[in-house]
Amino acid sequence: MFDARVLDQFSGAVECIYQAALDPGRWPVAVERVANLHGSDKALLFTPVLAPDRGGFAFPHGISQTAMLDWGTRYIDHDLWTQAGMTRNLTAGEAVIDTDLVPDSLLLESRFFREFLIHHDIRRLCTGMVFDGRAGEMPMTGCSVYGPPKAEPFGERNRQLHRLTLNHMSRSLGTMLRLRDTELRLASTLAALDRLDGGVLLLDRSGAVLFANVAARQILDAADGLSLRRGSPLVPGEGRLHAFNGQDNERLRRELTAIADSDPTRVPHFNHGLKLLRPSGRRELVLQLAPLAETGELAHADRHAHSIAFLSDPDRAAAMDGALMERLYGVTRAEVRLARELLGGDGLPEIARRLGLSNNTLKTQLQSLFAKTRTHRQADLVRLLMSLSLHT
Amino acid sequence: MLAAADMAQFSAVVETIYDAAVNPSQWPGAVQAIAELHGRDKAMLFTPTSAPAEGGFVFPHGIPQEFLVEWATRYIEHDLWMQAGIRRGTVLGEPVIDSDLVADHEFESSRFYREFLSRMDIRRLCSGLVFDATAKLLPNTVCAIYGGRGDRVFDDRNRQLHALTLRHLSCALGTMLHLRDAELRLASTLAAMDRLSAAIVLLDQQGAVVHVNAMARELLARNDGLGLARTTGSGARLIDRLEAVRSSEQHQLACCIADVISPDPLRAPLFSHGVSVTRNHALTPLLVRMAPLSERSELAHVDRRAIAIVFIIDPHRRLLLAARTLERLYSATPAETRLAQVLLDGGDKLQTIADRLGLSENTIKTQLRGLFEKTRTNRQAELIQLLIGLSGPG
Repeated sequence: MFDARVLDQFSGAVECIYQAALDPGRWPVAVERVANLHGSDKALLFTPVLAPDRGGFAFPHGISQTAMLDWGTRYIDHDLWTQAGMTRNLTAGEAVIDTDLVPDSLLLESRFFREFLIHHDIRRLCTGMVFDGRAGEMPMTGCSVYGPPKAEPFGERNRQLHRLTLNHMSRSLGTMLRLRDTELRLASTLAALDRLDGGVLLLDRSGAVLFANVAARQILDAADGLSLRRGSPLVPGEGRLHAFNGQDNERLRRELTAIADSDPTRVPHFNHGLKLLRPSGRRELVLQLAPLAETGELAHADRHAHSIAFLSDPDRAAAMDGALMERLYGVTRAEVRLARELLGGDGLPEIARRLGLSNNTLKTQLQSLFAKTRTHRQADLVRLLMSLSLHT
Repeated sequence: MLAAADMAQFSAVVETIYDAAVNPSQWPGAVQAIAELHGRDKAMLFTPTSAPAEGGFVFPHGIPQEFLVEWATRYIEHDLWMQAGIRRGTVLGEPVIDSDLVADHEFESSRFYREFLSRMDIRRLCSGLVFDATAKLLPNTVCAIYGGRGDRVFDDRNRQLHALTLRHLSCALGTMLHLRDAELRLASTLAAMDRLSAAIVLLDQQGAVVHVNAMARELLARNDGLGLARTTGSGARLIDRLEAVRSSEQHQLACCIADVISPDPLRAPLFSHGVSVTRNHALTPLLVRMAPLSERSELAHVDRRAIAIVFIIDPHRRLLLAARTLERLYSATPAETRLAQVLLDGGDKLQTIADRLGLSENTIKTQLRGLFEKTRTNRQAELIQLLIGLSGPG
């Protein structure tokens, strides 16, 4: 029988367990609450066969770092409880107490008990499997509660309570991993966008910038025609786009409003585009907007990208990977240098002057570049060079 | 005193609540379990102030849809319980029961009960607030359990039990939103990848393909020199790998992938993170370039995030100008736009282009000068660079 206070206490511990799914820093508190459920002050949530440096974890409560280390380095081979648990092949959700695993007589005589456990005031155990490591992607995970020599032995009531707790732990850890997996995948996808040569921005429905890749940030940081106005720290997103020219800025607002209301399934790609004047007098930046397919319906969770914007600077020379050119097409260093100059936008006479070479030398190099890359005209060569100029 | 079975039942109800958080289609089952915890057959989890279209929700158990519609259209103004709740100001997490809100005699003589609730035999209420207006993420949310005229009245035990349940509902709904938010952000970012003109494949630390964007899907589906091969990875998991059809190229590709997913700092990468792949149906090879995205993680067995990016480049792929873009942005005429596309396709001299289009070389030169002027470029190569820039990243 349980009294009503026990239900409160149990419910509170379970709440802590689920809070840790969203905030893994709370696992130690959850483990403490689980220990308290059994009137104990020592407990451990851990992956017995996977070390923390290999993706496992250990959340101890009331067990010193020294004890953990001591166990890992010197007593792991003498740990009768873990050995018996492995032999019994405990399944997920199953809870046992010390005497289910090792008879008292055997335990009390063991080196594990006499040299290690008693040293740390441990005599009793109630343990169980959160995951048995047989299914899914979760490694074997156990949760143990420990009692001192002077405490009442654990009994059926502890087994029952622990069985209930294990079910909640497995749900919470599953949610934690699912969330972490999603967040890691999001981060790596954004990192992929950073590798692109062109500027990419992700905007929410209100037009706020949620993400700007490296190339876009370089253009925005230069604040030459288009910049990012930082928003309030309370508002999600990086800020809002602001065009230097007043008329451009008004058109930008209009386009952002139009795209917020557009139907992504019907609008052709990038019909929302604008050119932005630059104070430096360089050629205008080009910003092209397109809606993304609607991904959700819950109005209250609205931090996902609603549209994508491509930002390009026609005056920015494409970066070229000379080593790759040499390897793929067998071109010489001199030819790579010429190719790089051509991407800069100048004609042969200017390039010849700058490099201090004769026009004829350059013409020979150019013919060779054409032959090796199977192109025939400068425009084609530039096309090829640009397709090789990714941010890798 | 509580029997061990009560404890187990409560624990099971809490499990159904958190199951619904990660799988929202299970909310009706969770609401049913909450009703049964109090030995009743009617309950509801809902947002009284927000309609489903405004981000609200209604999960009833044992209450038919028609009845809910009738409440919203005809009886909402007669809802004594709701009026009393608003007047009294409900406290977050502190459940109320019917007699806290409206005195029994007043309730039984009300139109709300006589005309409406009594038809469903709803006489008793135990209700509480999961979120109040101070919660940023969710609208006001209520969980109510209903009892009939002949049922035992709700008492302090119901109050206590419901108070605990409300806390779990709050935590579970918070988890649901958090999870959903992260999943929506991932989905919209992957949708953005599909808008790129570059063909991109992402690899995890086993070299398995974790994402293929739309352009790469199209390219790989042709299986012309390069495709996806399904194999068994570690832990008997089925994975896709990038595979070149020719074995010598496959060897180079595999080395290149090995270099990029586990860079050896002591060894210069053999293929400078790029290889070319011969095609059967085109003269020019595809270029496959790759680069690391992030550090390797120690959590190898659970971690399927991308750690390398692969670009598949067809250097001679035909780039199509979005005609209206050039016209809208640079006020190009349709004739100029057509010439721009011909130049982008490449290969021919102006005279040849003029002949093919049935125009004089002078006309073509005039159109070209027009394009130069409008785009502020001076040479064909420069114009081509600008046009490629307009076709998007990649």
